[in-house]
Amino acid sequence: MSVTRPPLSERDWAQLSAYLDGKLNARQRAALERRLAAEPHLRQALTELHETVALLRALPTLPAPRNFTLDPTLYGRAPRRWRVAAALQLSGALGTALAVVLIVLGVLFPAQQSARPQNAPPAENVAWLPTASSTPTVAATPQALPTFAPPATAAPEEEALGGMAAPADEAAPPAQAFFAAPLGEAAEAEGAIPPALEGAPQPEAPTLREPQAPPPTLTPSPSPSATATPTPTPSATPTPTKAREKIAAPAPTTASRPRWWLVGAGSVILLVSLGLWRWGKRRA
Amino acid sequence: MNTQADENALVRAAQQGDVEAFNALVLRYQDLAYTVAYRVMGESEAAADATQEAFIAAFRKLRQFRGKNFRAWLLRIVTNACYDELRRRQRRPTVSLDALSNSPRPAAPSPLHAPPESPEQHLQRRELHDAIQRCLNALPAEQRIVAVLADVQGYSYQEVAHIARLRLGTVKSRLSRARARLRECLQAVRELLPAAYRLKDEPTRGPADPPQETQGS
Repeated sequence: MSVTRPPLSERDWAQLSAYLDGKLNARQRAALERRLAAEPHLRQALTELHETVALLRALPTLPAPRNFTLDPTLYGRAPRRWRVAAALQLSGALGTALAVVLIVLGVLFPAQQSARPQNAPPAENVAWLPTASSTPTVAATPQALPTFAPPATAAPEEEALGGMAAPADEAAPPAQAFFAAPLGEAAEAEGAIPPALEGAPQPEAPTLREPQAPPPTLTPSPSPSATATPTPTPSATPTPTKAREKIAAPAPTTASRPRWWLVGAGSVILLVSLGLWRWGKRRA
Repeated sequence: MNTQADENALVRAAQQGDVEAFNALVLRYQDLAYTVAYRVMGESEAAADATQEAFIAAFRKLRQFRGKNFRAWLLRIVTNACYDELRRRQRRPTVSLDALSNSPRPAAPSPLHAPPESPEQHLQRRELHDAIQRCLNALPAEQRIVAVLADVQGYSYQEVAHIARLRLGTVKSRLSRARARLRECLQAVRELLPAAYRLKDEPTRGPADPPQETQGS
């Protein structure tokens, strides 16, 4: 004959479960134990609950069916040491490239040496003007000269600029002559250099006295290359900077030297970069 | 503790992107992670998938780990992966957990660690584990995860609350409901359970006092 046990409420199950885990306070525990002593079905439920938990606890840890390790080639980020080494090598390589560019710029686009106006800014400052460094083709193409031809109007202010030249003591290397050499005008212009060197050589300045002895080719003989040069506006009173820009164009008259500050900076960067690169390679 | 210090070093290295260090942690915890996943999912392939997803997610989230208990943090990710997989299966019920639970023998994991035993004992043990797993599978997922963490893995209420991101009261209530259901389920298959797994202090029932639910096949 079967005995029908009264169903337990959810609260009864919660109390029994907490009792098993020792989570009842003293009062709750005492009250439940009184009920357990008086109610066999509650005691039976506790026993079965205990058995259930024991069965669950007896379940073993299962061995993984395979390794769940990650493939370093798919998920690997380089460890920090490798990333630092890679960064060092990369910065070294980039620095080397920058240094090479600086040195090449310094050698191939030299500063022009000639009379520098007395009060002109230092050559390094003027060098950033687009006249000397950024328009080498102008200096190398005397065909463009006719476009700058108005010697009569330019002469007075060039004289004025020449009077502002600051002294300089460096002789002009032949680099600029290299650009001007193929042209006959350059040879004539070279002749104008010595007096300029007595003054203050400056990249923009060399042509300041040129109008005093304009090359013969300054007479209008437009060439295709003239279109690439700034169209001159022979104004009577241009600003000094503009004047220097225009005057600097007939550069065949100037001598030049490598931009030693560029070469020097490039050399320093080159050394540092090579050091970084080697350091990174050692760490890698 | 030495192993704890070693684990902390592995975690720090893995946080820097060292996959080999992370794989050392994987090897250390993969059995635990797979077991939890298997108990929750009830099927070996799904458990393996969830475990793999969990380790991948753990590696990607490892920089966010700031605590001391890597195991609990990992198990949280494992349970989340199980939730995700269960939700995915509910949307595409190609493999039904109900079907698995009703099947005579669900996909069994690889051989268990056990002392030498006779073939009969081995079979009995397999049947017992299968029966328990079927009962676990029949639980609602939220109760199953709590029961697995608290009763199968033996974590405290606080640890379960931390891993499952639940309040203590929720852990208690879900656990009590899960135990009540499991008790009922196991009583249904009680006659199949090996006597060795019954509690020694279990009160004996007279023939006149059979458990009502004992009609298990």
